[in-house]
Amino acid sequence: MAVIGQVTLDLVQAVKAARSIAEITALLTRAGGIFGYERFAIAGVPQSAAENLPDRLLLMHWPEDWAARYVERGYVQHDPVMAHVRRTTTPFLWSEVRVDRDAALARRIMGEAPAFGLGDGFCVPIHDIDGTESAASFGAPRIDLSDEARAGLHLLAIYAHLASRSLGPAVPTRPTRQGGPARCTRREIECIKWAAAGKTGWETSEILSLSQRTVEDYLRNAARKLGAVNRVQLVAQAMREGLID
Amino acid sequence: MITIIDRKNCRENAELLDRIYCFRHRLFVETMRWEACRKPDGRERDQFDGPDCIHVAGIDDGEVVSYSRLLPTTRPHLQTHVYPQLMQGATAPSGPRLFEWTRCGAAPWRRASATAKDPVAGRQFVAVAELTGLMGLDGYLIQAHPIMITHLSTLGWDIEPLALPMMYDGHPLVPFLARWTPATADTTRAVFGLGGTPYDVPRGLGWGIEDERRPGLSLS
Repeated sequence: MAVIGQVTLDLVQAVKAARSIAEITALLTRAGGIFGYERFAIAGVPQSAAENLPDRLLLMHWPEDWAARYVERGYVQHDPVMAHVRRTTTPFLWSEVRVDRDAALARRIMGEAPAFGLGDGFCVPIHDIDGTESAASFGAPRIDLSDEARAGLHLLAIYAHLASRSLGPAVPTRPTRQGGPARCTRREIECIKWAAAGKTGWETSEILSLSQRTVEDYLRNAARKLGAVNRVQLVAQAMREGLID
Repeated sequence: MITIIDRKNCRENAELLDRIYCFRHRLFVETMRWEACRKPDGRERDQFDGPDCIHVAGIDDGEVVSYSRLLPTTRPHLQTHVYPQLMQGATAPSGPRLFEWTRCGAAPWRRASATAKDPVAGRQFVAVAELTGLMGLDGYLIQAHPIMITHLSTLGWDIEPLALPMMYDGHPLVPFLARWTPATADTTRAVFGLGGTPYDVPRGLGWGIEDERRPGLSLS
């Protein structure tokens, strides 16, 4: 017990001192070895029916193919975990959330996640003073947390949310630069479109009759040009800049 | 407006103090169900309500609408005498520049909307932030629901947890340190969209703000 306590307080100090989203991601990845999760994401609960995950995304370390699918299908509007975050301030396991029998899309989301390595997760609801809610979720094929580990991860999640919020959103609204949208080539945009449709690099290479490596290069170059650090952010940024619909 | 009651003026404010204990009963016992604090006389008052504590009360039309109690950590306080187990073996900091912030609340029955930011609570938070700078304190020891780490951080306090959250009397509680910064009061004002000071200058804290001697705010 005392071990988890001290380790958590040390991690909190490190997260508070983090200077970049990448640093927070590295710390949370390290903490995953202690708490037994592999993947995580921090995002605000949608405040309107028009919002998608990237609109309130703070930190993203889900499997890329799951994140892309989740964004492309607008799952955030139907995710029962996100819905539960509105109702409680107590951390919970995804598997503890009751899903209505007739909530078909919610059931599908929970049914699909395990295939992407997210069999279960621990979600920390964060309700701020202005009434907005956010979720910090930690996933793995299976999750097994002691009471102390739950308390520790609760505290760590609170600070990961604060730190990532103060470092700015994962998808910054960039000022439009001269020739902004034209900076990506037609091929790069094509690859982003397929990524937005949930296709992996390999699937896109099959569709476009390119090598997988070429597709990856296009996506990497596009990400660099748009200042994105991963594929979800790349897709979101391309949408914001009007490169794709 | 905000009124401060401390060692210097508690005698002449006995009537207001009584209304404060009634307010605390209505808020913490009747509304928030802190059954351990229930008293037959309908006044929520404990052994820490002595001359050493500082009462920060928001008054509206003669009615107490918000409140905080600040206790010196150099004397018995909740961390040492009520919640020592919250530290889970560690030692909580204390000292003349550190007070304990307890019984913080604003009348929910005065809220116009459940979702909008509550200006009554906002003025209470600005009042404590201003007072902290005035008294030259480093900050406060607090035991609260973990949600308050986020809330107080949003309001411009630097929050350092002292132990993991644990269940206490059916509620999750975490002990933490809230460090004041020169930006705390302005950040709080910005969050609540408030301007100026919540203190009523001619009365209340006024005699402390105008001259540098800060009478009435003894740190003992």
